[in-house]
Formats: sequence, structure tokens, C-alpha cells
Amino acid sequence: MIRALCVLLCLATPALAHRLIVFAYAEDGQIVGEAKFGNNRPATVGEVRVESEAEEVLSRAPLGAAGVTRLEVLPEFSAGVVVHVSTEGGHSDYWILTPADLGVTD
Amino acid sequence: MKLSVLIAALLAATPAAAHFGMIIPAETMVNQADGRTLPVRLGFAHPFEPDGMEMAAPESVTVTFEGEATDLTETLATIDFHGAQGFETELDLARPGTYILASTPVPYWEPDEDAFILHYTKTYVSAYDDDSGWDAVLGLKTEIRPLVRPFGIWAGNLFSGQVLVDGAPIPFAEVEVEHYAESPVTAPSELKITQSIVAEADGVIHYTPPAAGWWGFAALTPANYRLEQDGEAKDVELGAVIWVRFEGWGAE
Repeated sequence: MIRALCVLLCLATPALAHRLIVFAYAEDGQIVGEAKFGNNRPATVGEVRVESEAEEVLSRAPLGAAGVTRLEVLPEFSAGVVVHVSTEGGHSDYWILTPADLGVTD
Repeated sequence: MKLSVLIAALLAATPAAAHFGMIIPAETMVNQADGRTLPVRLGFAHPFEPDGMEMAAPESVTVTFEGEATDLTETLATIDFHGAQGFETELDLARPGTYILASTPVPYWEPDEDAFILHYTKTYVSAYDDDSGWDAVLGLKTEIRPLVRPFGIWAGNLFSGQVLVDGAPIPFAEVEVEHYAESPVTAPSELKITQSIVAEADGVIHYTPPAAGWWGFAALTPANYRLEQDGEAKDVELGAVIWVRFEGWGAE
């Protein structure tokens, strides 16, 4: 379950003073990923990866301007995905999108 | 019965009677594993005992996120809050940031004090490791502006805030501080239940709690109006209440 993965990730992710904060949502057939640092400055240099629960990379893109990145929602996302952001400076964070977040109905 | 035993029994039975409006969310820092909703309880109580008092349906309960307030009043359901009526609701945490819960009650008539009590009560919740907006003020009639982030703070850290009425600092405001004893705590004297501090000339207060858990700060000022009770105009005590949860060192 994508929620169980969330628990594991939460336990494994260290909090840093210069921490990265990632949020993602689905809109108009796209995943919109937002990445910023704790001081509210956007993260603009790095990569966004969309991964399955099994950590298979399903899609990837460079971080967009102003820390906002858009990726097309693919059929492979239907079980839920983890949106990972890694900056060139070594910071990383993630946001989990459940099937419901992606508009998938049973 | 020996006199000493009688005195001990009377002391044990008499509450210290500091009133606090209360907003107590289940967590003050929510991560993704906790889910995206958060139960919240509201009450009016002597928090140290803890001893509930009947809370009428509040005039309003709001949550403010990034400067935008959402009215939660219609979502309230009644609960038992330490032996008296309280309320509960559930907060949606849609995205990372700081959510500020606030309650504006209806005036509470306190015959023992021959006055009404009106506690504007608030607390701050961080969602998904984002603390931006923790120092926001809401523009309540009276409130305490946090000068220290009011969540993710260790027991033994200094908490500071500024007492405001109509947005202006109140010099030398009287502030009561009390622990919400979710687990029983014994105080050897009533003076140790409610701590009293006075704001500085710029309305700034400081306090360091001795233990982890919820601590309420109530800045009390007289209203510049009176309300009628049984045909007589009565004083109104305004309270600016903020609830802050202090974490035990090393606690998860």
C-alpha cells in the first residue's frame, strides 16, 4: 500500500535546518510538483522523479522555474506514486499521491 | 475527623478555577503518515484539574491558512470535554504550511466573579514539515502574537509572545499560564496550578514551562463595554488564549 510506504519514508527522512519541502497534486491530467526550502525560496536546480511503490522510476523531469514542475499523468501511475525531488545540493523530499489524488476510481 | 485531615480533603476538592478557552488538536505537527485530516477538540475548562465547564456553541471557529480563513462553525459536533459540553471537528490539511485554529465564543456568565468571560482562543498546527506562517496574527479582538514558533518547541525552551488588543500591544497585561494535565499531576498548592506573569511595557511576555505537554497562556484584559445579566450591566473579561505544545526532549 502506498500509505505503508509513506510511514517508512517518514521514518527514514531526516529533518534538516535547510530542509526541502515538496508538495504535489494532480490537475488537468498533469502532476504539479512544488519544491521549496524552509526559508520559502523555491528549489530550482535538481530533478523530479515519479516512482512506484517498488521504487521503479516511471517519469522524470528537471525542476521547473520557481520550483514548479509539471509531468503528464501516465496509466502506470494508477496505483499511486511517490513524487521525489532531489536538488543538486543534496537535499531531497517527497510527496505521496494516492490513487484517489490522481482521480483513479475503483 | 482530625482538623488536618479535613483541611487536606477540602484543599483536594477545591479547584483553583482559572478559566481557559481551549482548542486542542490531536497533533501540532502532522506528517504524511498521519493522514490529511486532524481531529480537534474545543472546550472551556480549568485545564490543570482538568475540569470542564459547559461551553455554549461558539460564535465562530475558523482555520486560517496563508491568510485565508475558513469557517468551521457548521462542522462542530458536541462532545464531553472533561465532564461538560465541548465540541469537536476535523481539520483538512490539504497542503504543507501552518494552520491557525481560532475560536470566538459567546460570553460565558460566571456568577462567582459577577462578570462575563470571553476567551478568544487559538492554536497553531504545522502540516508536512512546513512551518511558514507560524508568526501570523489573525486580527482577533485580542490575541497573543507568538514570538517563538508555537510548535516543535522543547520543554524547557522559553516561549515568548506579545499581548495585543485591537492589534495594539498592551503594556503590563496580566497573563495566566496553566498546564493542560492530560495525565494527572499533583500540585502541592493552588499557587502552583496557575502561574502568573505580567507583560513588559511593549506587551511582550516570556515563560519557560517545566515539563512537556500542552500549556495555555491567557492574557486577561477588561473589555471597554458591559453586558446585561438579570437586568444589570456586568463587566466583561477578555482573554487572549494561545495553546502551545512543548515536546519532551528526545520524544518522538
